[in-house]
Amino acid sequence: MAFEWSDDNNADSSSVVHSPAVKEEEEEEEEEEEEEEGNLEFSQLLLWKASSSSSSSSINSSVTNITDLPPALVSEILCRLDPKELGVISCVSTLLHRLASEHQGWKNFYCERWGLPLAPKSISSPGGKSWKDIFIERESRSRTFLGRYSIDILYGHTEAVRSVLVLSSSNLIFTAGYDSVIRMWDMEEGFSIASSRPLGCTIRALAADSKLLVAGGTGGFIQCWKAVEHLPHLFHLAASHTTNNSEFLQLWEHQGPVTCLALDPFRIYSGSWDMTVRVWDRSLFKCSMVLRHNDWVWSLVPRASALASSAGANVYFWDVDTGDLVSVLGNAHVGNTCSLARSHMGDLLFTGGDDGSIRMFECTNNCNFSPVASWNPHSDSVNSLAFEFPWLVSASSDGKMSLIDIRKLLKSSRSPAKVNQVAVTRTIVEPPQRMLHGFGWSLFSVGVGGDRIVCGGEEGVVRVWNFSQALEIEQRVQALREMRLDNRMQRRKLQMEMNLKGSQGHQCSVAAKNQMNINGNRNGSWHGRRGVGGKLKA
Amino acid sequence: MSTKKITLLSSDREQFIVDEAVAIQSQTIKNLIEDTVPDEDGIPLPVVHSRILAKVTEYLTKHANYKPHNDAAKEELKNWDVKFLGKLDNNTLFDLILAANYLDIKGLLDLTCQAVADLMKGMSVEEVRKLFNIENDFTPEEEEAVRKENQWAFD
Repeated sequence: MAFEWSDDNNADSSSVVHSPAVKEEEEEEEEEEEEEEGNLEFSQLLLWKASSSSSSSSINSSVTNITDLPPALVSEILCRLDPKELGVISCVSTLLHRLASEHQGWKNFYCERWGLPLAPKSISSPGGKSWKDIFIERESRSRTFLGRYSIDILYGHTEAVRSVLVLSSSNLIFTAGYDSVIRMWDMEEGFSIASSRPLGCTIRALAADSKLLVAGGTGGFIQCWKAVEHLPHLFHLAASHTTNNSEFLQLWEHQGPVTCLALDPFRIYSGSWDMTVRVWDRSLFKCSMVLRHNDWVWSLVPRASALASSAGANVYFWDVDTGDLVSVLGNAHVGNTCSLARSHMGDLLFTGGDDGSIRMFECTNNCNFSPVASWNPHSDSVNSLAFEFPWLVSASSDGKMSLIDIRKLLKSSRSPAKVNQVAVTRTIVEPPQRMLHGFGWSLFSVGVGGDRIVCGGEEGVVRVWNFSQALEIEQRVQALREMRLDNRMQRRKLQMEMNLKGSQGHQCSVAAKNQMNINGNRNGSWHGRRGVGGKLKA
Repeated sequence: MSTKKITLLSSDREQFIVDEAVAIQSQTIKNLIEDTVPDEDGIPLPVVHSRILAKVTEYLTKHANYKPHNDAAKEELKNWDVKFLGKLDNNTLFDLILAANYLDIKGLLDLTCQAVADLMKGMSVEEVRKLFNIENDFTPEEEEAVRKENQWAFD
């Protein structure tokens, strides 16, 4: 208290000291203003004399147009627009078209949504496409999940499938479940490539990138396969303790079943029913951090240093550099929050719960997540979520999958108007864009990649909804429709011409009448067209 | 806070007297103060007109006296910025962008560029042309091609 008081006292005394100074300043200013007036007159005189300087200033003050700004500044403005707005702006004039098309923003848009493309080599090459082209191509493909699909079924597992994983960059699908075997499939062709030896427990979680594959389950250990160089399918799945130790590792630390796994370039993350999330150093395969929860951990998603995990009904946000709990989202769902998904940049978070609902949150600043929307597509718990911009796909125990396009929501929530903020806090309940009905069995896990939705469940088979031909089919249908329309128009046009000729004929001379009769006899449009063709040839 | 005054001289040789703390928010002015022997009349800013420099100093004065330390203060400053922008017409806005760029005032540049971007948001091509008085210099064929290229943006 004493310290505070003295502090106050100091402040008071300083202000007392200050106030005369302020007055002095004001007086000074007044004086200066007077001086200024004097100077102004002088400067005006100068201006009269030096007309050249006044003309240059008039040029400077006559900027009236955005196109008069230097290109760098126009780009500065354009980088605050979203892709669609940039598309509209590029149609305004040639200058804006050039600036908007070459804009660096397109790369950012792409990377924010999907990360770097799979083959960056093709982009840097001079003959390659611009970022805008790449973006637009990808954007137009986002309609695929609304198109037609074919279903492939992968047979192999003998019991329910608990986890599926799509590694589209390597054209692989991994699946695992109650039969304790991990299977690897070719994504495009759908055949089985390899399977692991039985690991002796239900496998509940899988995670992989091009360097490492990890699996975890009721045994509480984490099984790791390091990628083997020159191996066409990355991992030597059939390896066991005896054959090769360096590529085949087991991490034992969890006290209970492992329910979720994730990888980033430096770490392995594992969540367990022992109420902890463990963070492992990827190069040393050592546990570097234990994050304690007060309920079973169901799901986790890391993005850079910010980790989101769900335990019980709550969602937790951790800083994995320091190990601090940043914030908690209490009671995200009624019952457990079973599943989580995040956008590529981590600014959007999706949760799926026991109550069959899905919620969307937007990160405003520093892990403050505000609700944006919610859906109630399922009548049973949402076991798994997968997100690939702009689609969120959910799999539920009610045997259905819902497909949600989030683009419309982004537009309304990111506009600066304050009216929308009120709407956001109320959370809009949205219908999903599309439902895929399964076959009556519970669905446990869903993965998205390469225009495919992969889903596994109680049934013991893995189903692949293949949308990769959806756009091509749509294009073909569209082309056919256009052709038909074109034909119809042509026919109608000919009919009109004929009718016109007919009516003209009546008014014309007798000589013309003869000719008309010849044409008139050919009544059908098909004949009419032939007639025209004949005339042209002649 | 130092009470040293700085005199700025606009292109039409009008003088603006501000605190040094206010003026050095502009990196350009800061460099000029350090590097050059002061002119009798003040620091010459030959590309900024007095009309614009008045706006710039208004912005700088507000932002120098206002070090936001809590959310309420930040909010107030934001509201002031909105009001500040509301009083500007488009031409002044573009002149301000130029001035902010020349004077190297990041906050003002961000604010004004965002304002222009906000103006463009949700507009059609014709509306943008009309708003900024931009001439359509595409040939009809070019325009058709460009429209086709950007068709996805209009869906």
